Amino acid sequence: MTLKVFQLVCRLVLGGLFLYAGFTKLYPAEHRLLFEIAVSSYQLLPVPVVIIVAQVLPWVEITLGILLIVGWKLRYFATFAALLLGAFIAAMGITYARGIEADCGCFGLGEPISPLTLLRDSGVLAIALFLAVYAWRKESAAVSRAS
Amino acid sequence: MAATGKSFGVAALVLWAASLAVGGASALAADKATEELAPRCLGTDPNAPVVMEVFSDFQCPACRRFYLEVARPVMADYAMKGRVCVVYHEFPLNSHEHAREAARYSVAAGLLGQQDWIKVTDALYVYQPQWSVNGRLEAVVAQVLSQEKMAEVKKRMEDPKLETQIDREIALGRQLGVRATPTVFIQANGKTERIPPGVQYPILRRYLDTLLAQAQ
Repeated sequence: MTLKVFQLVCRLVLGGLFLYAGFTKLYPAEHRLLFEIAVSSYQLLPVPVVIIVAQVLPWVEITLGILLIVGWKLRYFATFAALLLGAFIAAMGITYARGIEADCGCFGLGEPISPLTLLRDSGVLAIALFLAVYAWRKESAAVSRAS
Repeated sequence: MAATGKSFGVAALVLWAASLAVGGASALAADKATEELAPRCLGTDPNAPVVMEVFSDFQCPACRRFYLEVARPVMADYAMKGRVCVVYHEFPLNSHEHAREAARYSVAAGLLGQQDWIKVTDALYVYQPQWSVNGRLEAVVAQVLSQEKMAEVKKRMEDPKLETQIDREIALGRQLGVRATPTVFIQANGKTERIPPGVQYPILRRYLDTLLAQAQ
């Protein structure tokens, strides 16, 4: 029961964070181009890909946030969230290690990548991993009971 | 050395905009005391609707990349067409042994005129990997200036006002929250945004074009 409540809290927190992250990249409207600049500042992607990522990612985050809050197909979407966060942390880590002063672009703008942003995103990743493991275990337990 | 050949646009103009009124909450306005010496607006229109301010250290590799890959194209494509005003501020870091001397050369060259500032700044950034190691700044600057101008630059470098100028620019940067170099601010439509210096030029172009469209 405690675990069930905890996963609900985690879903709400993680879903809320993704929703917030997506909205801050889209509104106000000038944030869309500033987010493009933030993605570009990582110097990891070619320009056309930067544009696509900057346009698609906020909507992915919003959709993912809603799905996590609702809890639909949690095992898939929590896993996807964990993979996405892992990719973010890898990109941030590589950029930081290369000594590039890039804007994190995580929650809003104007926040440079730092050990603190890496630590914070790792904490969020831990929540996503917990949810993914919880949902997959729950699913396999249900399958075992059914068979 | 081919710094002159690499200089962007001989027709490039650096305007001394002591009388410049960029408007809005510009950092320029806060720096009135430096008007005598500071190269202000790089571009053909000191009243351009967009202002890009850069706090830079000549010995910092990221500043070199930003200048060569971003600032120079911005100057060529926007500033020289009167669409953007580019302002370079000296922000030499103590950890860089030759940065302050490079800043002195730049400010002194700026006193000679627009094209000389560009020539010297180009040379200093292009040959940064060499002079950062051997400290031979004079040789780098001498490559792009005539003997007479080089003598004038050296004379100007002895002026204590020049040191004060650099100190004031550093103080201005600190006042604006500059902690690292390069730090880039873009002001337009009454707003100031801090831009990460790692930005790729084609992406910055999209932003500048949007700001310019909004300003019309």
